[in-house]
Amino acid sequence: MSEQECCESVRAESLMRIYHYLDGELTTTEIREISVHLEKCPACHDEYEIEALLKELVRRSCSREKAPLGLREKIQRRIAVEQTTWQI
Amino acid sequence: MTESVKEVPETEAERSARFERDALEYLNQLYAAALRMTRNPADAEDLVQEAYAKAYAAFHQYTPGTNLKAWLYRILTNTFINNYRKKQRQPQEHGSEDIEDWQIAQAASHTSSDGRSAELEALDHLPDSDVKDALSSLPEDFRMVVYYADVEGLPYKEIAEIMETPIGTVMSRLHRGRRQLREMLADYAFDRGYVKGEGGAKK
Repeated sequence: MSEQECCESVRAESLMRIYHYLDGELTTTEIREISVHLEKCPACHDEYEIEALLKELVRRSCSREKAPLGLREKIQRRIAVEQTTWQI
Repeated sequence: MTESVKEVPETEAERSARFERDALEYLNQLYAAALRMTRNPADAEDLVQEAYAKAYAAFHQYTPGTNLKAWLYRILTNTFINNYRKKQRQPQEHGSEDIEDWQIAQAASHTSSDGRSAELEALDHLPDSDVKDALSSLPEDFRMVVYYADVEGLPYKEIAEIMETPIGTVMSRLHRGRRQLREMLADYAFDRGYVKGEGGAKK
């Protein structure tokens, strides 16, 4: 493995850990470890902030969607049809 | 020995009342997910109706007390994959699944350390429409995983169940999807002039 590949794999690895941290997929011990690391590693801390923001941006931009008016009624009608079809 | 409990069978009317009460509660969430999948309101509406009809027909298989939302999402995802994926022929699919991990790492290291706070600032100014556009141009498997993880905040295990894939696949799609998204958004920020100089992820 070349030196460059080695550094890249380390970066990929730390990014993966940041994702798992953000997604709530770490154990309590791992959370403690990464918090300590983020405090003393500016590079990882920056990555963490950007990834946290991206996650928040995605959530924010998609969470305001509402089903169009009338969709609920359409579904209810469709269920009613299914129901009568079965009873025949 | 467990004696089988004879339950009073639910009448059709009771079942549909229970369905409407419990399952339709997730209508907005399912529609929002469908909109991200199909990328247009008309198809999203059809998809949600289709999924609810299927869910209703299969509602006797749903175990009360288990995760109803995840159950509905699985039906929605399945319906989308089987009925809509093939029909949709809009050109899109930014990038592909075979990006190597080293490329992911490279993308991560693209911005110089000085540029990080600028990148942060620029991304924060992007309008929702840009974020939605970028999401729309992700390959759909990536898009759905990112959606479930970031918008719904679902754990990887649940996403794996919904998408009927191994958890490792969920993680790699999520990572790749996020990398692509970040590059696209950096480009948008650059195009909008939020980032000066050599910002953006374009080479």
